[in-house]
Amino acid sequence: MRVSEGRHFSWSERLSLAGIAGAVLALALGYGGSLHWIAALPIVVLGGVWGWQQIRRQALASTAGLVLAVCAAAAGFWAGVPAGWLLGAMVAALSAWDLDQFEQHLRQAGQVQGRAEMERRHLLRLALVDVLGILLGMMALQVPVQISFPAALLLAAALALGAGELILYLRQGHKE
Amino acid sequence: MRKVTLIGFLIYALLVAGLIAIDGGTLVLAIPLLVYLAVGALWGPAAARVRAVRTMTSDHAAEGSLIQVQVAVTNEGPAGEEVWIEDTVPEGLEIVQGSPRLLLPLPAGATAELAYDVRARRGAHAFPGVRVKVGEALDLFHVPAGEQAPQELHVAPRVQRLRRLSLRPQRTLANTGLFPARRGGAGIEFYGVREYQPGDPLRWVEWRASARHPDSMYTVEFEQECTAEVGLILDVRERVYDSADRRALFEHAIQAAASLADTLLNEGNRVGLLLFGSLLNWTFPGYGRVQRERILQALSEAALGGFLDQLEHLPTRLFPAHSQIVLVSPLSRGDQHMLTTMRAYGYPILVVSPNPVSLEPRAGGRWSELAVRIAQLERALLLRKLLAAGVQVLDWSVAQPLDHAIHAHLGRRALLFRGRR
Repeated sequence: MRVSEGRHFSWSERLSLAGIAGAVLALALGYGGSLHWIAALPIVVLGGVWGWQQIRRQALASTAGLVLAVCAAAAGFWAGVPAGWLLGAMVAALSAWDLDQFEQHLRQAGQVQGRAEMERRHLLRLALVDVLGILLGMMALQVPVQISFPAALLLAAALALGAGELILYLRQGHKE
Repeated sequence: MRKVTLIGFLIYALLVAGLIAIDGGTLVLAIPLLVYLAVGALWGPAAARVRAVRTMTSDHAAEGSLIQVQVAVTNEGPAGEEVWIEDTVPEGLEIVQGSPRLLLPLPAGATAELAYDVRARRGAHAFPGVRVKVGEALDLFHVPAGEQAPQELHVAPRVQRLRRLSLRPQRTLANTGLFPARRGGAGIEFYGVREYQPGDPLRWVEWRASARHPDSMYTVEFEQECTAEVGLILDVRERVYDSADRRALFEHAIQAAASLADTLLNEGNRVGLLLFGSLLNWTFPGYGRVQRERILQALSEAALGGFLDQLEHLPTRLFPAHSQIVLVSPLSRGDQHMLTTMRAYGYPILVVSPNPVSLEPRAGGRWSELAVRIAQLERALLLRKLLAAGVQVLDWSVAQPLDHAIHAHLGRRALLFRGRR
């Protein structure tokens, strides 16, 4: 599908694309600043693909983009990338994904009434998530946490229980 | 995949990664995701109570007509930030305008209206209900309000206006109609000559016969025309609709049955309908518009079946002796025996037979042409045997309108008589 010159982008679509740009920039600068330029290049390329597919309204583009962004951010911690860049990329990617999902939700409905009101409310709620997410994340980064062996064991048990619940949920299927 | 599921999966993956690496930094990445879920849960809807009402232009419509559907949903619970309303449209209905889905914010006590137009195929279409979900602004958590307003739409087959059918039932009823009654009375066809009785109109005096007999006068007698008892049988055995486009052939047969029933009832006859093939579906004989609606309703729900496979199982006791039988069926090998037996019992039979060979695609090539010729010959032989047994047969090529076919093959007597006058 070619992007026509006359196509109108809604506020949500524009902010979603801005979120993609923000996530890609944060990751690229973070990796580049840690002298991992070789990792920054594929991040920029994949980010470009994400943005292009989203403009073409491919349904799974934003989900794939968010998963890749989370993986890149998690890998960044191990590579020594500064946490601030990674946290910023995480929030930007989450916002981009959420706004694209919102647009898809509106498109699935054949008729939409009160779109402006819903869009305004959604953007305000998302802004609250972004601000709280960054603040709490930065606060958490200031607090050094040592995970002791018993705590790790407890966490592992909780995760194993969670895994069991997840498998049960997937087997039962999902009814919306 | 739902949004909550994906976010939950990502949080879980980050926690596992953090545990494996014993690195708290990875756990920090899960914080925005947790905040996202928490904000959604905080504003999540507590309960959803709505009342949905669906109205249609008509819940009994004719095939191909446009039906307007309107759904009104009133929010009887707390205000909904995002309310998803979806009317589940049954298969067999084609949406021609509008959409059955609506998304909007709905304050408490407010009513949302949804409208769309559909065109329906023949049949009974059940609307399962209107699905309503109330959600919050981030579309993470929803509360379903259940399905409401189930409803049925009955679409009757299209009815063609047919001209007069030239039938001669052996027994007629007492009411005035259009079938010759084999006795003298009020009518238009010549029946015989009888002695003049005081009160007979002078214009009916047969002067030539009266001149040959100076002592008496003679009057022309016309054949009384009355209504008749008609048993209409639609063959719904799956195996006889052996055609490349089985469904189209069956729909033509249903349309023929509907048109015949409409014409016969309009002429004042007493008509009953039997759907033979699946379980017996018998519409008791009756007159007039009410009977027409009953028959059209039965035809709207007609479907092919394979339970009763042989025409020998036809319950002839349902039809009064000597009543006119009209069978709509493509016919198949083996049907001839039962029809000739019924004829022998005294039932006058008219078979309106949609030609399945006419619907076969012409693939081209010698073998295809040969196969079609053989099929046509087999069919011609079957019809000839029925004609020889005294069964009236209309071999209907479905590409031709039924009225034309009936008029060409069954309307000649009426045409000839009108020409004489």
